Amino acid sequence: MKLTQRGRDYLKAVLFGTIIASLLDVRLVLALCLSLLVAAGISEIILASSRTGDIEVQLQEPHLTCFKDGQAIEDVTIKYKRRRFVRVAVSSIRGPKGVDTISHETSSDSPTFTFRPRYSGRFQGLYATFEFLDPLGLFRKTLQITREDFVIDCYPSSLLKQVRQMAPITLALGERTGRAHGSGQEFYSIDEYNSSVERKNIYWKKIASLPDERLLVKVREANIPQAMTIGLIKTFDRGEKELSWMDLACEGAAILGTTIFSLGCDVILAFSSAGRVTKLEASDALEFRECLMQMSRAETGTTELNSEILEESEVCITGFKELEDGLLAVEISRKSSLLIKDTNAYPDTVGPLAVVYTGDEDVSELVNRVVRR
Amino acid sequence: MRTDIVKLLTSAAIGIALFAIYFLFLNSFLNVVNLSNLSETESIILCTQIIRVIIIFVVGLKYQIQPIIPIIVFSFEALLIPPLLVLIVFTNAPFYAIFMGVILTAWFGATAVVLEPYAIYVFARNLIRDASIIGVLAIASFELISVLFLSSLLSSVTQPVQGLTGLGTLIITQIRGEVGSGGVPNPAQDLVTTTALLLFFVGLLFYMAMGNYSLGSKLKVPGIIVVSLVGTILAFLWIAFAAVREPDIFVSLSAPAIILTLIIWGSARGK
Repeated sequence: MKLTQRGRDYLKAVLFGTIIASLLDVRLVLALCLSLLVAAGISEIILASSRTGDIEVQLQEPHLTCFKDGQAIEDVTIKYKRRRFVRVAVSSIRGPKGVDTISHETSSDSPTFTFRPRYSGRFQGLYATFEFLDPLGLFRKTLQITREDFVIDCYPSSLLKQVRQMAPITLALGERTGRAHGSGQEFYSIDEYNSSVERKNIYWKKIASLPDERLLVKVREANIPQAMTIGLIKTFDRGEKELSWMDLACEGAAILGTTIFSLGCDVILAFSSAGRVTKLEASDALEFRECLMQMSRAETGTTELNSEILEESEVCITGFKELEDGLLAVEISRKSSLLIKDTNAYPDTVGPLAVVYTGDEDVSELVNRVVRR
Repeated sequence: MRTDIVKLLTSAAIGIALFAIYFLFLNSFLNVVNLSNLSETESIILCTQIIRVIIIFVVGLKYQIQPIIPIIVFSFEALLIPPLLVLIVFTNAPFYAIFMGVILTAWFGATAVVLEPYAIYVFARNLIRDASIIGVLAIASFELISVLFLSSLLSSVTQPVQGLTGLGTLIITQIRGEVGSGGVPNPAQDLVTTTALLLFFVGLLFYMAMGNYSLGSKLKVPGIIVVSLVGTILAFLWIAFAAVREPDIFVSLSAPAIILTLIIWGSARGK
């Protein structure tokens, strides 16, 4: 238990008043000082006897979501049994690292907080310090509470970007129909013959029924992959810069995913988590957001895990720092990759299929290249 | 808003209490002091002192006055002392010495009558504003001492006091006597003084307990009042118990208060 600023002033004032009253023999002021001191003592005993463990913090929405550069608002309700004599106030509240917290205290028992994440990703934990004040406001006790179940999901702003509607190229291969003409087995439409079309595609039955002498050919439907995998290769923890690096990785994955979705493919995100490779498949935007949030909590992978991710992914996202490892850099250079810059990092090898991503680059060509292969 | 109301009520109670005791003095002053044949110097000092108070009061309602300005304005007579001393030294004329004595005693008398209500008003007004509680208790003590001193000043006078110089002389004599005897005399036991002192006590008690404190929305005001009143009852029980056994106030009141302060201070130094 500690004295508040008011408590210090109060005790100084009473002590000063006692001395003056004693010197000048003003008994009324002396009696007043003694009364004030006894009241302060009672007030202190009340606070000392109060149990801080009775406090309950209720979050109206423990899982908040917002887009980057947006904000999420949380209403907190504080329940405490001994309100009559002990005042409970939130002295400070802190969101997870990377999230700015603004307090709008409507009342001491139900404060409202606005959270503004500076980076995209999943942020976890709410750290609040509560202050217990005695009836006279002279003493205080503090209690720190951590709510690990509090989560803020900040979606990358790239998810809101309009991507160019992509059609699969004619030579694309895969398990799913691409809703465009291509090299698949399924019948798609009829077209007139020209010299570039193979003769085996001439549609003799149809020609026979035609009154004129036109040559028609069967056009087959393009095939696209069922799903495309984006792998995250991370071999370093960047410390203070980790959040901004992961923010850019999420933005890159988001724009890649949105582009892949526009083709009609599903997206699989592969990353290291809990000592193994985690693969999450998303077939729509909502699922993809959740996958991205889980990816933002990806851990640093071992060489084996990174090799596995690299093997299974069509596009990989990695940083310059990872490319300082010669062997890994060579392996990554063979893949389509989205590279995120690291200061003072010099990549050993950068492949021709790499795009250095800063947040504004067009990644449609990268996706096209993957589909073509 | 609630804080303002509490401050307003408690400062009004304290102000009314001090004014009530001052009016007892004023009543005695009008009865005892002979104002019929004031000298020209006394009249000038009294009239200008009243005008100065009115001007400072009116200007203070509209503008923020620097604290040094009222001190200079009300102590203008004191500024006459250095030139008069020079004249006394160079001319050796007794007129200047007498004149200086008249000015000083008349100024003392006029100040006691005219300046005290202004001082009470300023103190009560400052209570509503953000005054430090150390300053509040210190100035409240001095204000109470001043009005108690003045109210008891004329109560023991048997002969009429001659003008403001007579009042000034009486004040100086009384101060010298009370400093020698070691304190302010006990207040009169009449109804007005007793009620005023009770009002002053309760007002200052509640002001100290909650008047200078921004109340939380959920902490009920009765909680603070209960704590303050229980504290007062216990303190008075102690006073009643200790006063019978030990009449020396230092032993019965001052020492316990200082010890209690140190205990509370020491016990609240935790993490």
